[in-house]
Amino acid sequence: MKASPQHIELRSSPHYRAPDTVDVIMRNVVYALLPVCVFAVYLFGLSALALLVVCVAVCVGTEHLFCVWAGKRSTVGDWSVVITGLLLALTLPPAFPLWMAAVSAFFGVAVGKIFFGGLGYNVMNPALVGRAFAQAAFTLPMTTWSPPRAPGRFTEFIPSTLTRPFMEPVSIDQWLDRVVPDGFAGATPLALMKFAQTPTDLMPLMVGTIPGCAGETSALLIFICGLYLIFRKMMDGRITFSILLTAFLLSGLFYWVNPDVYPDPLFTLFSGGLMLGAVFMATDMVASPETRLGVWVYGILIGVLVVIIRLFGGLPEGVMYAILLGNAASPLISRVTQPRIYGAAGKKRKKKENNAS
Amino acid sequence: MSVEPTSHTPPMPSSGRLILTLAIIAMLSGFTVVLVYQVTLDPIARNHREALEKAIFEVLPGATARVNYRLDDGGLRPVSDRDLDEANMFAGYDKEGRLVGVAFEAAARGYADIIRVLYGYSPERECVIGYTVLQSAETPGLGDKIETDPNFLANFDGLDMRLNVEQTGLKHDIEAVKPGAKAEPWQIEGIAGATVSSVAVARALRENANRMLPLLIRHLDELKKNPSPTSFRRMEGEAPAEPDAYTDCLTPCSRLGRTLALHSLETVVGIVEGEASAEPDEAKGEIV
Amino acid sequence: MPAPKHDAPVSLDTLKAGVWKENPVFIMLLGLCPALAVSNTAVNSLAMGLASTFVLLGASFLISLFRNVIPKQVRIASYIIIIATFVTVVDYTIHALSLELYNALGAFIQLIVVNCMILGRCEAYASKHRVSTTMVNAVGMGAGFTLALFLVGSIREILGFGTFFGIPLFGPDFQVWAVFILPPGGFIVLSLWLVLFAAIQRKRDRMAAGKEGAYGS
Repeated sequence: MKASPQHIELRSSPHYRAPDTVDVIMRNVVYALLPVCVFAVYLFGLSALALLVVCVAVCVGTEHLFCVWAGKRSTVGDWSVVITGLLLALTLPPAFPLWMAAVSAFFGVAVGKIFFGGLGYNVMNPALVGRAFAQAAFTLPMTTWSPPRAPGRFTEFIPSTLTRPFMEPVSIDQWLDRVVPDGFAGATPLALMKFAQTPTDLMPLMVGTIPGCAGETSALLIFICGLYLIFRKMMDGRITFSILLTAFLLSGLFYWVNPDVYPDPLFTLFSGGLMLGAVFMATDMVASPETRLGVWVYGILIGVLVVIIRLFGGLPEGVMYAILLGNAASPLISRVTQPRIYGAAGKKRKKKENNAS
Repeated sequence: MSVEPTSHTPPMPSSGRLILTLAIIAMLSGFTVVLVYQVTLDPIARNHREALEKAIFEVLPGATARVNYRLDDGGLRPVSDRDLDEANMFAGYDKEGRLVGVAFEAAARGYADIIRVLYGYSPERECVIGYTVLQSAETPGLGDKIETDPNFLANFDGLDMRLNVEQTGLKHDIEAVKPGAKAEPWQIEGIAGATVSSVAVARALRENANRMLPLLIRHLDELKKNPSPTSFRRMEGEAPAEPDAYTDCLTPCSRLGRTLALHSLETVVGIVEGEASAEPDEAKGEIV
Repeated sequence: MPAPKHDAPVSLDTLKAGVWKENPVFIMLLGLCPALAVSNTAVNSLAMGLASTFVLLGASFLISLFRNVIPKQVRIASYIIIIATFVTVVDYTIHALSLELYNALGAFIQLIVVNCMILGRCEAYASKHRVSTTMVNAVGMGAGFTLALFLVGSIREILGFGTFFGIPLFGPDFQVWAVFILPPGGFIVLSLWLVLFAAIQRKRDRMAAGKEGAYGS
């Protein structure tokens, strides 16, 4: 077995186009996320910026550290871990203490990704694993919201951002009294809807001038950024489409049955983290199914779960758990929905043959 | 008796020997368990009594003695420590024998499981004078603040429980409000992030008070003057003449049986269900 | 029934096996139910570990003593009765000693009877070895079990409550990591210890292999 020296093969068309490499795709996802990040910083100021920086830094650092420990080449160059950091920061409340964000980022990357073998092996979206950990460990800070476009947000942090490590978040009540003197409800549109039956106008929901997680507020902006990725064929638009369609139809059904109790489908579509989840999280290439049919099943499953958790669960928001459950189910979905190999006998025919013999 | 011939297994010892071995082991086991049961009976009963008294005296500040009662539509009757499970009300008396207040056990479904609380009610002041959580499985760091949060606990010092004119229920229903929104003495200021738990405590008190206080008012005079000597027990008084058998301290045989039975999953489920159905009456009443 | 006579003399390894090489929780993955369920504080896990150790010692002693008397056909039934007796004794004792501890451990004291570590040791070891060897091994196994529970419980208490044996470590403003007190925390902490133990084991194996020259460069 001897390697042939410089063997060049010439072929006529049609030519293969070199497929996008992982880092090219990932870099483009980062570009697509940047407008969302900029908007988050515009809404919530320095605290959101610090959150983004800390999450990305800890995620990248964690992956690098584990690679060094394992004696492998560092895999941070494929940009995927940067996306994890950005997504995690975008799904945390802007006033979230930085030390908790760092812990969640570490947990998400270490347990959600590295322990499974790194990129390509993670069962679930690492950013969501980190967020789920934050939700379970630090429930109160995870549901403490701050007002968007607060005065002075570019010159000072929200007090709780700089909480000392291991300590409870600093109270933001005084700060709130100062920046929003006429009172701040302290709840997201979803929580208002669920616990107070107060709907929010559609316009602020779409533009994003509402309290919520740092990057989830502007549904419209996220959707446009997603379109860019779909247009460049770097993201599976079918997943996004099937989730949104399912959520829209199912919540529409409930709204049609009883509009007094259930929110209208447009509210469902543009509130909370549904848009961010459907566009950037559920489409995680590793943790979603591969088959054509499987993609639709996966999207529909997530869409149904989101609506069910939102309407009937104890929590106002269910996108995170819906996607994590979808991630967990996706290997099974892939398996069940394997397409028939061309020419091979289908299940029905095989059965018939078996019976005949 | 003939044992069925088994050619492929090694010779089987006679069934008599098997039975004898098991019988001896079981007998020794039974003997040991009975011995331990006898030895631990008193300390266990004392532990339970102390825990109960600690809770009662905590919610009835100033009380040094208690009497257990069963209060229902059929009237008021004292209950001895022996039948403690039947009691649903504990009257606390101070050193001079005056009625300090009565403690009720209230329960409602919280976020994780049933929350059981004990609250002290002063008929004189017509308000709550003490509160303690007997059982809760609320989320640590959030819901479990119903046990520790000083702001929340402050609600129960003087929580208004006046009866309406007809004496059929509370004049103002106890209700939970948002943190910082307490404006009336019958409102409970909730805990931030633990709305469900706060509301559950409020509901437990409201439902219990609405049912029990109208009954209590009819028997108040009886309570005030006549602590039943059979169950009257001073805190630092003499030890009970005979050990109190609590229903919780099962007989040795049944406890060993229960331990043995854990080997079959069905039985485990059975025990869990049995415990669930052994919830206090309040839990059932709440559903109605 | 003749008992196997291959007993090696009691050595330090008999004791050490349970603590490290055959640690019931970290290596053999036995008795995980109590290791996950009641290990939310250091005190609870120590109490559960010691209670299980006591049951293991008592049951091992009796079973080893009567190993030639108990017929094979009823051995499991006999073992279970013996184990259940000791569990009941522990149950009453803890109930008498501290109601608080008893309530904290809950049904899991009675569930010691189904701890597969105990029945497993009785069946696999005590029924085949001399009393002295059995007891030394049981002490090791009990210590290993207690140690494992203690390691899990300490981490969960420190991060979950900010205390260690009830003593506050971080002051009053400590942020509770609720997840570690709840059941998922048991799984997370146990898995982290398993990762650590596996990593150490692997490193040792590699070093041993390297010494023998198996991986000669």
